Amino acid sequence: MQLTVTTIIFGLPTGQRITSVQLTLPSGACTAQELIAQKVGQEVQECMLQQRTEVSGEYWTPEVWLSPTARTARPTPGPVLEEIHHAQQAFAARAYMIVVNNQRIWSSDAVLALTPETQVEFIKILPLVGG
Amino acid sequence: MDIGVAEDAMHGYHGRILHVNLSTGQTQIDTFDETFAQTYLGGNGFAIRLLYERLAPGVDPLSPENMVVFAVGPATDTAVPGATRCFVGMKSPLTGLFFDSTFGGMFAAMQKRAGFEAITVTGRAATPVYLLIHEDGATIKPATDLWGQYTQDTNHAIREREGGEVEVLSIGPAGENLVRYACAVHSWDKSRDGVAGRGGLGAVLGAKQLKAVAVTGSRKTTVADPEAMKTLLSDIREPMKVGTAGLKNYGTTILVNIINKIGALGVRNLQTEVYDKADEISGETFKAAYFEKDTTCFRCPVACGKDFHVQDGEYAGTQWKMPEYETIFALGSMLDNANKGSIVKANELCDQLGMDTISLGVTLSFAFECYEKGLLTVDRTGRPLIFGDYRTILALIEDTAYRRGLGDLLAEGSVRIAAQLGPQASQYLYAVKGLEMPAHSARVLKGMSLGYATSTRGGSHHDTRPTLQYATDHDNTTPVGKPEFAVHNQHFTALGDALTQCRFVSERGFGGMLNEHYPRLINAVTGWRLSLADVERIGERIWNLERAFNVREGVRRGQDSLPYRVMHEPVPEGMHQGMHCPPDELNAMLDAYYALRGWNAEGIPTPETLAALGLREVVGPLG
Repeated sequence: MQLTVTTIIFGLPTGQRITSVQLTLPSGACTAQELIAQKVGQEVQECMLQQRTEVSGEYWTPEVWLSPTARTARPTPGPVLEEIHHAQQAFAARAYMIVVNNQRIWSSDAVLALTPETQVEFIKILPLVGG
Repeated sequence: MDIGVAEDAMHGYHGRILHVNLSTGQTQIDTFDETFAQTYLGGNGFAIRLLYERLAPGVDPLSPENMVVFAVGPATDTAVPGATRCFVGMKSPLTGLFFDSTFGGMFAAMQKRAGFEAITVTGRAATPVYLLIHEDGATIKPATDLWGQYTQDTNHAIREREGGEVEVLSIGPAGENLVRYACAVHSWDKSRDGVAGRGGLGAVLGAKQLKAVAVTGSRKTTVADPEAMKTLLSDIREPMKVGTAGLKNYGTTILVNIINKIGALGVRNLQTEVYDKADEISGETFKAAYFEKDTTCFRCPVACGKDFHVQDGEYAGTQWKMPEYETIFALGSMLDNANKGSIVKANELCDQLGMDTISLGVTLSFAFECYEKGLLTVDRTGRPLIFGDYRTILALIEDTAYRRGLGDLLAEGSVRIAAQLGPQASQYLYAVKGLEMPAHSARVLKGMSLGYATSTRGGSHHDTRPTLQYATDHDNTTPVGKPEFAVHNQHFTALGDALTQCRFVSERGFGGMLNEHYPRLINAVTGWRLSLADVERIGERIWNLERAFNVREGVRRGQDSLPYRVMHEPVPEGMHQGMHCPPDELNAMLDAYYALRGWNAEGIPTPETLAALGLREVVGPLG
């Protein structure tokens, strides 16, 4: 099943950053943990094939995104399993959100029912001040 | 008040309080000592202490008896970044309760150079006047020729008249006409202007016929331990830089797209919280279209202010400061107004006429919904009130400032309008304790639900801050832990206000909850040896004294409430569809909150709590 996953990074000095990746999933049902693995795995693979310059980076720390040398400091993807593990840990620590059809997914074990029309978003909000 | 003797004897303080009575023309200088300074620290701490003692309960906020306190703190005019806010305490004509409004720019530093940590103003001048505060006290000067002028023109005229290094805060026509949410505006020509926006300070000054306050001086504030200060500032530099990176580029407008995405941006008077036109009024869109230059408060490296130049549409040519996120909410999405040029124009009008954009915008959106529901009709409004009609919005801003037609009603604020329109209208209010609420959803953020209900200002986001509640590791959907969060965050904000710190710098540089950085800061400036517990206790003391003031004015549990819509109408769509704060949930949070605070079931601080904070004699019997 084909699915588009959108990543939005909010709070960058350059404003919001929106990227997307097309996934081919074995079935329409998977856990959040499996979805992360599919998404990050696909992005790393595309980097290796030079089809994209970097992963979406929702699991990177704010310092990586925001330090003055951010652009050069951003890590190139490591081995796929390492990147997936990093992303899954960051999700468990709530460093970013997964939102499916406008519903936030809180647990890595949550089973998601996905269709090609499902709106899936990975959202990172960098440190901000509340107005 | 016996507060000891000190004049320039302490690090961080000059130890002087100036009292001005506009009715008699008399001025008096008091001094205070280290004990007083350690007990209340400065800023809002000094303001509430002076107001509690000197303002009798039941005084009409617009009467000569009301007192206005301009207060700064020990870190003001030192190297501490962002410690440049001036706090203005008073009894609010919107809420009838304690209120401290705050503004940036250069005024606070100049007040400190005049050598007064606090300036109180009481009475009413026979004709319009302005005050010139200098190191020897104050001179009352005629301002009849300035009455009726816009704020910026007034500020420039006084600065030209006085010459030299003078900073000015003034009111506009709205304050003169006693619009209950009139504000006061400080124009700092070198960079960022400051607006004491909330609570109706402009009306209180207008009722005193006080058009402006000007300050000048050259006293230096000394720091006890410059090396410790240097180390501290080095420690906070990187987190501040990282934490304010987006703010630096876009100012607070960067919040529009973020908060809309999570379904928490009020639209059409909170009828929904997802705005389909948000991107048209987002920080990214505004900056690309209108950005001219960055502006900053005195000694602040963040520079969150921006100057805009409207390049397109019917308001092309308008040059004014960037509307803040709150203004974009109140005069944009809440009114379904996505015409970005009109929002800049509305912001200019509000600043020049001297009105709080939040209370004005939320009052307008309330009136527009009342019109939509048939509670206001064209025979009373004089024109249709249709969401999205930005020309009507701009016309009503001017009408309100001059109390013309419908503007005379709008000038009273939404809660007083609802009282005239009947019980159905009260269901459309978005206000707590008479103060219209800002742009951080009381339905979506449970911490804000409790924070708004318990804020001493009423519907204000200045305490119980939203900042940490937007982080993805904060569960905004559950009431669990929110009473503890509210209590400790309120101590942080009370302490920060006593230090006259900008929230943005303090939250991202020093930390959004009290931590060791805060005693380090105070100790470096003053040479004291306060612990973190001592510092938290100062925040708690100030918060309790503010509450005691409000209790004395009649506030009880029943006023620690939320708008009908927040408690009874779930968010209809978006990521947080279904969320609201039903009365049972609020009550449970209040029970826990009162218990943590040592207040009784009616929300009154107990004698034991007051005694533990050293406030029993100050406060006297309550309840």
